[in-house]
Amino acid sequence: MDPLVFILDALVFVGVFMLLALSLNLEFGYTGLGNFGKVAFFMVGAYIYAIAIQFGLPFYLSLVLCALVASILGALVSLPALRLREDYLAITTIAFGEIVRIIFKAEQSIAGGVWGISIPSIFRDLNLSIRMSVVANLLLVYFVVIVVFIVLQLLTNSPYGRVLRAIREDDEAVSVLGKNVIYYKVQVFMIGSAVAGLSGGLYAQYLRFIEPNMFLPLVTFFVWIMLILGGSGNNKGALVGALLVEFISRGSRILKDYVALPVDAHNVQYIMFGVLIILIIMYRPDGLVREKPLKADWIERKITHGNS
Amino acid sequence: MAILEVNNVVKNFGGLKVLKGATLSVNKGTIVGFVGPNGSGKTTLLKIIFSLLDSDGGSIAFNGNDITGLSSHKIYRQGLSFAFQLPRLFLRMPVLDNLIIAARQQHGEGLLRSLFARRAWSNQEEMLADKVFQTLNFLELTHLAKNNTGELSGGQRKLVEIGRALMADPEMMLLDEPAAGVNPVLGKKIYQKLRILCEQGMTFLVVEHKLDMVLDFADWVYMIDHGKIMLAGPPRDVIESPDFYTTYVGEKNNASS
Amino acid sequence: MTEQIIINSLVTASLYLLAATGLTLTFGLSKFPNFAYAEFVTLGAFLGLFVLRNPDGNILFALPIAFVGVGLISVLSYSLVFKNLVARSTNLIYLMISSIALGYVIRHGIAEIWGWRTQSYQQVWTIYRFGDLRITTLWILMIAAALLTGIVLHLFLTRSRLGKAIRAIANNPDLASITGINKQKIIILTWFFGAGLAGMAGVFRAAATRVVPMLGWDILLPMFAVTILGGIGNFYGLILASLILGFAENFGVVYLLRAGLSTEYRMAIAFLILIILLIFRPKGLAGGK
Repeated sequence: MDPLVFILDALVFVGVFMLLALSLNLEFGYTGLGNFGKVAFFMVGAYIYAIAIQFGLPFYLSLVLCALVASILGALVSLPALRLREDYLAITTIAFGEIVRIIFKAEQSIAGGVWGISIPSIFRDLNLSIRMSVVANLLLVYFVVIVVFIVLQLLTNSPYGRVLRAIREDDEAVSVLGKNVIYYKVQVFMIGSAVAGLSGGLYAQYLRFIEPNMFLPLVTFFVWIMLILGGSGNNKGALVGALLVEFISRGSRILKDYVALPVDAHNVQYIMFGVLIILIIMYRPDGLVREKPLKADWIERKITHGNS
Repeated sequence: MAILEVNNVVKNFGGLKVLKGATLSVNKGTIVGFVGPNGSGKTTLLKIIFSLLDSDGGSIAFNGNDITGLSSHKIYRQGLSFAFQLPRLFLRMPVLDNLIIAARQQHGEGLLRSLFARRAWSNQEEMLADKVFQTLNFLELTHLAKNNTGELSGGQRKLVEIGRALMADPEMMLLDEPAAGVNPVLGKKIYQKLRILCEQGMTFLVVEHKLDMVLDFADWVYMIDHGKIMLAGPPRDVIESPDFYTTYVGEKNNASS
Repeated sequence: MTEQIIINSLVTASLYLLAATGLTLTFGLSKFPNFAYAEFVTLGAFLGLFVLRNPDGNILFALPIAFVGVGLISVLSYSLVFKNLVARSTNLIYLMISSIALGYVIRHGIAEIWGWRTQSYQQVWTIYRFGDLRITTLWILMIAAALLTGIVLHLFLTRSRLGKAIRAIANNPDLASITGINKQKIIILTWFFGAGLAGMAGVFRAAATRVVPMLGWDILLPMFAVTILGGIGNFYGLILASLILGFAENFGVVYLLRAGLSTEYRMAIAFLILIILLIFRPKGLAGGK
């Protein structure tokens, strides 16, 4: 394989996972909501995209639809689930992910069932070379990543973000301060799900084929590894985590092709990630990039003013 | 004129009857002390008023509006605020943020406005900052403004908790032992501040163990025991009443046995 | 037909009871759901291979091997990982993530040793027929094992000092330190015996189906469903919940077929019951409002 294409291809996947890590960071990193069913919203995004494109909807509208449907689903799931304790929320969301997968698997009429569904590329009329086609996808994915990143940065560094961080620490105390906690949590779940849906749409567009087994609970677990490794509560950490985890896992796959290992690289990779995440949680729970306090220029001004 | 009316509130924990029909009312612009032995149901009633616990019967009205079972954030919006006995602060945030978050009607707390009305909310933040520093100056915490709340001592945290309730500019405050764990001089200063605010029209319902504070600052006192209001009246009358004495001495006997 | 479904339901219920006993007890004691229980079940299934890959191997030898082997791995994982995490007062979500991570380590460790290919026990189970009704020795063994576990645990939890202590701690963790019970000892014993039972469940599951590294994961969510349905840490609730879920699944499949739906939804029955339950009775069937 063309080495440049290989790297660019990896970067497209990194971008897709960056979106997932950013969305989990909003939910867990800032608001403390343990969503263990991230893959469900990713999957719904991918399938909605596939179905919308097959219906002949234009690309951008299909992508908007991914985000919209995923966020509506996020609201439907979160309204009852957010009243639960956090361990129950985890189990409910993981179960929800599996139900969604079973539905797509069992219902052939929706999108091919176990056989999967093919999606025409939006760049097919341009007659691009393989290399240029990957580049086109790269630009598309990172355009979305940058927009989402900026929006989330603004959101989490505002009084809105302050309320989210407070909810993470003590949601009852926040409601005593007059904030409608459920309202915030549902909003966060909707935004997070919308971003995951977008990510799914881009994933489907790039792969041009999806099937239910691409959306195992493993995907959710990987997003958690990215977030915890990178540093939860920091959007830059989420980006770093996505990059590192995707490249480590690619790297070990290359290693398998070039080095004769006595062990199965696939197994070793998961064992390594499992041990790694436990060690991080044990010894560096803040991750590589630590959370920063809110940026508030007025604090500096007031303090210098007060001292003078 | 009564601003808060608690009518026949009942609360059971499992088989244990903690409140057996507590009734009290608080007049506007007064400091009402709420006393009683440990486990008599004071904190429980305060939490029920603010919907932090569900009651098993009875009603609560604030400014004539029924607020029974309303969610906490709506009760806050009606003009009440609450300070926990054990501070419930956001320990990973600076002291400043802990205070500013309590202010009412912030533009930047809505999803869309936080994104698209940045100028409006940052101007507001600057105005709120003045208020935060006034509060901090009063509580003698200005030097800790930028510190993480987790670094503060127990007494300092208690002050931030009170400061937070003050930031809300409420019509009425529910305070659970505001001076507990704070040095006596500052404790007295807190009550003096409450007195000043009271003269400006604010109302207080204060759970307090220190009888000298109650005598000095309260306008009216309720004494609760075994889930029922046993005595009510001006502080001196209540505290000098023989029933008051038996209740507290009874508690001491129980404690030593 | 109905009699057959009842038998099948009892078999399913027995499996869930064995698999989830440890999950509910450790959830009650250590206050977090251990997702690695899926892999404890899988590990038991693979340990069973040592004995049961030979046609003349006896399942009565495989069961104790799986029990002890899985029990030891569970105790090891507690002392290496979870004891430290709890001591560092790690939050609940990170504890859950760590248990998922441990699950992946065990699952892929298993795959590394035994491979990903589908294997099966070389056993033939005698089938007894009563009219249309079919019962195999395996099923009888499963139901017997579940009954025995129920009786032994009941006696243990009500009669022995240690058993009473386990119930006390599961209900109120602070109580134990007051009454001077050695909490560490209790936790380690529970982690050992609970996981051991899950290992036995793995042998049964593998004997009834086949041996694959995903074996445990496939029944993890029903395991959580019975745990929560029965009330966390509540063994008697678990018995009832296992029966309910066993019957719901087996009768549910019949209705799925009648309704022309895929039997893939068999898994979804457990999830749906779980989700509906969590929304309407978050403290389990036995819990109050």
